[in-house]
Amino acid sequence: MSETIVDTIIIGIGAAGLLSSIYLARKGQKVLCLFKGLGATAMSSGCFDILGYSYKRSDWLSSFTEGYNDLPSEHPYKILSEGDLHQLDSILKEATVNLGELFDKFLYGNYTKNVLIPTIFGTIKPTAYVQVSMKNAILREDTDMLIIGFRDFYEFNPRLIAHMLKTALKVFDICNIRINYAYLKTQSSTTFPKISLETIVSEIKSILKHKRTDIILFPAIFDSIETVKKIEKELNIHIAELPSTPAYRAGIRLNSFLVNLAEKYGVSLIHADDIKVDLEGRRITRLRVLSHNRILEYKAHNYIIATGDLLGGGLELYTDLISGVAHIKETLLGFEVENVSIENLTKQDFFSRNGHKLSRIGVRINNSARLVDKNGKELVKNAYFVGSIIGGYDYNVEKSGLGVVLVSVWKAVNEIFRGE
Amino acid sequence: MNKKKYDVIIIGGGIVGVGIARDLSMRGLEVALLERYDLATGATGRSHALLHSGGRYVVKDPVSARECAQENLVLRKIASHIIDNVGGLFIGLDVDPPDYAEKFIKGCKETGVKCDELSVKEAIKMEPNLNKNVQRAFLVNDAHIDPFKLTLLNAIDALDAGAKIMTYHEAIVFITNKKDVMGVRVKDNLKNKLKEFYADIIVVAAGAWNRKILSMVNINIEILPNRGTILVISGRIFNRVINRLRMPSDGDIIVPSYETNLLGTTSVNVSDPDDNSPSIAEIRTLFLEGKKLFSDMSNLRILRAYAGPRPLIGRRGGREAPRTFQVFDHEETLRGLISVAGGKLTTYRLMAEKVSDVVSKKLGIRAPCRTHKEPLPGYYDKRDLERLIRKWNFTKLPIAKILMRWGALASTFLSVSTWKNKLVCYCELVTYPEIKFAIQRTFARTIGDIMRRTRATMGPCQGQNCTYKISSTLYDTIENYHYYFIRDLKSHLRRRWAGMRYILNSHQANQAALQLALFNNLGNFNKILVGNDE
Ligand SMILES: Cc1cc2nc3c(=O)[nH]c(=O)nc-3n(C[C@H](O)[C@H](O)[C@H](O)COP(=O)(O)OP(=O)(O)OC[C@H]3O[C@@H](n4cnc5c(N)ncnc54)[C@H](O)[C@@H]3O)c2cc1C
Ligand SMILES: Cc1cc2nc3c(=O)[nH]c(=O)nc-3n(C[C@H](O)[C@H](O)[C@H](O)COP(=O)(O)OP(=O)(O)OC[C@H]3O[C@@H](n4cnc5c(N)ncnc54)[C@H](O)[C@@H]3O)c2cc1C
Repeated sequence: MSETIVDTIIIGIGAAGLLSSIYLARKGQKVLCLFKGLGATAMSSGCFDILGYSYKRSDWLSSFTEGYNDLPSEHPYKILSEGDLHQLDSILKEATVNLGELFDKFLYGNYTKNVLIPTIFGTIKPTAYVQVSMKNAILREDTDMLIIGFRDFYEFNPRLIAHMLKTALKVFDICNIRINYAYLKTQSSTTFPKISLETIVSEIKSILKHKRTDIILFPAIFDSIETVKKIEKELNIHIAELPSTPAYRAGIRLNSFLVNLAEKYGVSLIHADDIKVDLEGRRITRLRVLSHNRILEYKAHNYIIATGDLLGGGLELYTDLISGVAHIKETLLGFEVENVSIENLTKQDFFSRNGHKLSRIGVRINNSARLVDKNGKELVKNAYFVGSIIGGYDYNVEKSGLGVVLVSVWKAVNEIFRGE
Repeated sequence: MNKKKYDVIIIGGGIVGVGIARDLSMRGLEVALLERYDLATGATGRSHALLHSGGRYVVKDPVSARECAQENLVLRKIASHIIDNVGGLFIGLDVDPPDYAEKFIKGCKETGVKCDELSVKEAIKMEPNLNKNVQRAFLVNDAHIDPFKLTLLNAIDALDAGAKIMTYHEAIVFITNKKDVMGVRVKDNLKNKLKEFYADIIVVAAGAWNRKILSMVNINIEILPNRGTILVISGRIFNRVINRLRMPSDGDIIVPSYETNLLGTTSVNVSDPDDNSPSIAEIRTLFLEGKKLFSDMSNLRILRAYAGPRPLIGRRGGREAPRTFQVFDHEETLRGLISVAGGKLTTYRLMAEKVSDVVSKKLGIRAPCRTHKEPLPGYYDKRDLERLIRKWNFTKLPIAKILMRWGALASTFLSVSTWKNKLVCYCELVTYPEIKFAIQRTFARTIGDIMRRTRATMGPCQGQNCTYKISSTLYDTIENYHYYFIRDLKSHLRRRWAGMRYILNSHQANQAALQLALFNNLGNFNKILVGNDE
C-alpha cells in the first residue's frame, strides 16, 4: 500500500477547498485536494457576496461594515474576527489583495462596497463582486438596458425579466434606468442555444438599428468569458450576462477558474469515492481513501475540511419520523452537529425575511476555524473547518456566502502558517 | 355590467361540482362553475385515489358499500383510461380482530361486493412484501383512479357541452331578492377583482366548505370537516391496494399510485376545512400502522405528506359518520338554493345525478341523465396503444407517459410538435405544446396547475430546472400573468415545502436547501416584494 505525506490535505473542491489550496500552495506548501464531486460553488450564480443585508435593517447595505454590529455573536464573521470590525476588514483586505488573479481579473468589485445587480428572475440583489462578464449589468443611474433572448428559449424570457425589473427598480428606488427587450430571430432548442457568434452579432446589429441602448443583457450561456468579450468588441457596445440559476454557466465557470488556478500552483486534485479518517486523541493521523477502486493512504501535518453544507455533502440530515427529531451530522468525521425537533427546524416561512433555520445549520468553530463543542472545547487539533460547513449564518438572507468562505479560509491558512 | 343569466351556477370545483356541471350541461342546461382555486384542490385532489370496491364499508355502512360497488362498475366503463386496475386485498393480521372476517364475508354477500378468499400463501405470493403474520386474505375489485384527472375530464366534457368553468373564482356573497337567490358575488383570486354572476338555481357543492358558504345566508347544516392525512412512499412496495381486515381505522389502506404507494389515512375533526397541514402525530401514526403491513418501513423513502378535509354528514364526524351523501333543498330559506355533501370520490357520479335530477325537476327539464353511458374525454382503448405509438412516431416511454396523462386528448398537441427538442421537464417528459394545451384547453393558470396536469416539477429534480420555464410559458400564454408571477412562484414553493417539512430526509433536505438558495440568495425573493405580492 502506498502512503503519501504532504503538508496539508484539503477535502472538497468548492470555493473553500480551492481557495485554501491556492493560498497554501503559493507559499510553497505541498498540498493535496481530495474531492467527491462538485458542490454549491458550481451551482451558485457566480457573484461573490460579502454582506448584503443585516437583521436589523430592511434596506440593503452599501458595505459589510454597516451590518457587522447587527450580526449575532455566533456568526462566523463575529467569531473569526473576535467581534472586531477592523479585524474583519483586515482579513478581507489581505485575502483579496493576496489573490489578484481572482479578485482583480476574474471578478470585478470591491470588498468594501456593494453594488446592485439584476438577476435572471428580473429581481435585484446586492453583492460585492461580480464576474467581469456581468460588470456592465451593475445598475447605474441614467442608462438604457436592452435584454436579449432567443425565440423558444423559455429558460430566459426577456419580456418577463424586463417586466419584473421595472417593478424591482421602483422597489430599490432607482428611477433613471430604462429597460427594453428584444428577441433574436434564430430558433433554438430548449437546450442551450447553439448559434454561431456571427449570427448573434449580425442579428443584434439589426436590432440596434431601431433600438438604442447603452448595455445589452444576455443569459449566461457561454462557457468562456472570452466569447462575451468578442461579441462586445464586434458590436462596440457594452454586454453583460445576468446572474442566473444552475445549468447556466456562471457558477461552473467560477469553480473551473479556481480549479485551473490551483493546478497552476501545483495542487494535485484527487477524486475520492470514500474517505476514512483515523482520529487518535484529538489529532487526525491518517486518511484512507478509496479512489478508482484502490485504497490509498495519505498523511499530512494539517487538514482542511471544506466539504460544504447539505448541498456539498459535508452535512447530512436524517429525520426520525417516530421521534420527530432531525439528526444533523458532519459526514467526514461523523460528528453530531445538532439534534433538533423537525417542527422547530422547519417552522419558518420559506421566504422569511429573517431566514430559515435549515440554512443556518452547520458545525461550530472557534476563532482559529477549529471545530469546537457546545462548551467551546476544541475537538480536533490539526484540522480546520472552512466554508459553508460552518453553521450560525444564513447566506440566503445575508448574501454572505462566499464572504464567509473567504474569511474562514484566510483564518485557517494563517493558523497553519503560524504553526509552521 | 354584464347581466348574463345562467340556468345554474355551481359553487365548488371538486369532483362533485364538476360532476354536476357535466351532468347538467349534457342535459342541455346553461351552467357556470365557480372554483376558488384550481379544480380538485379540496378533498378530491388530496384523496387516497382509491376506486372503492365497497369492501371497506360492508360491515359498518352497507348503503355506502352498495353505492361504491355499483359506481365502481360504472366508472370502469366511462373512465377506464384513467383507472389502473390493480385489484385489492383485505388482509387480516394477527393483531386484527379475528371475528371480523366472518362479518366481512356476510357483509359482502348482503351488499353485492365481490370478494374471494385466498390462502395466506397465495396472498404472500401475490404481494411478497407483506409482513409474514398474515392470517386471512380476500381479493376484491379495488382500483386506482386518478382523482385529479377524473375531475379535469369531467370539466372538459362539461366545457365541450357548453358549460363555463371558472377557476380562481371564489364565491363570497349570495345576491338575493327577498326569498329568491339571484346570483353570487365572486372574487377573482388571481386578479383581485370582484365580479357578479346570476342564475336561476345555485348549487353549493363545496364539500367540507359547504357549512361555511351556507352560513352566509344563515343556513345551518350538519357538516363536519374531517382531516385525513396521507404519506407518499417512493416506489411500489405493493402492486395491489392493501386494506386491513378490520373496522375502518387509521393507516389501514395502501394504494399503488403511479410510481408510488399512498399510505393513509387519519381522521381528525377540524373546525376549519382549510386547516389541512398534516400534523407530526398523524405522520407518526401512519408510519407505525404502515409498519404492521410492511416491516421494512424504516428503509423506505417517504416523499411527502398531504391532507384533505372529508365532508362528513352529521354531528359526530370521524370514523362514526356515514359515507353516504345527502342532497339538501333550501327552498324554505332561499328559493333556488340547493346543496350537496358527503359521499365518496367513488360515488360522485351518482351524487351528481341525484342533484341534477332535483335541479331538472325544478326547471322543468325532462332530458335524462347520460353520464353513466358516455365515456369521458380522452377515452381510448388500451389495445390501441401500439397503433398510436406508430402513428405519432414516438418511442414507447414518452408516449406511455403522455397517454397516461391525457389519453386520446394528446392527439391535439402531439400532432403539432416533435417532442425531442421541446422538453420543459426532463424528468417527466413534458413538452411546451403540452403546457400550452394545458393552459388553453384545461384552465391551467399557475405553476401548480401545470404540475397537477402534467406532473412537471414532480420528478427527481423537483422542479429545479423547469419551474422557471413553466412560469415563462405561462407569462407568454396568459395575459396579465406578470400580475401574480411572484405570488405564484412563492405559493408553489411554500406548498411543496409544507408537504415535505416533517419528513425531511437527506434527499428532500438538499432539495429544500437548493430551492432556498435559488430563490432567496439569487432571486432575493425573501427581501424584495415585487408586483402584487402577499
Ligand atoms: C443556487 C446558489 C446560488 C448561490 N449564489 C451565491 C452568490 O451569488 N454569491 C455568493 O457569495 N454565494 C452564493 N451561494 C453560496 C455559495 O455558493 C456557497 O456558500 C459556497 O460556494 C460554498 O462553498 P464550499 O466550498 O464551502 O462548499 P461546496 O462548493 O459545496 O464544496 C464542497 C466540496 O466538498 C466535497 N465533499 C463533500 N463531502 C465530501 C467527502 N466526504 N469526500 C470528499 N469530498 C467531499 C464536494 O464534492 C465539493 O467538492 C449560492 C449558493 C447556491 C446553492
Ligand atoms: C384523505 C382523504 C382520502 C380520501 N380517499 C378517498 C378514496 O380513496 N376514495 C374515495 O372514493 N373517496 C375518498 N375520499 C373522499 C373524497 O375525497 C371526497 O368525498 C370527495 O372528493 C369530495 O368531493 P367534493 O367535490 O364534494 O369536495 P372537494 O373536493 O373538497 O371540493 C370542494 C371545492 O370547493 C371549493 N370551494 C370552497 N369554498 C369555495 C368558494 N367560496 N367559492 C368557490 N369554491 C369554493 C374548494 O376549493 C374545493 O375545490 C377521501 C377523502 C379524504 C379527505
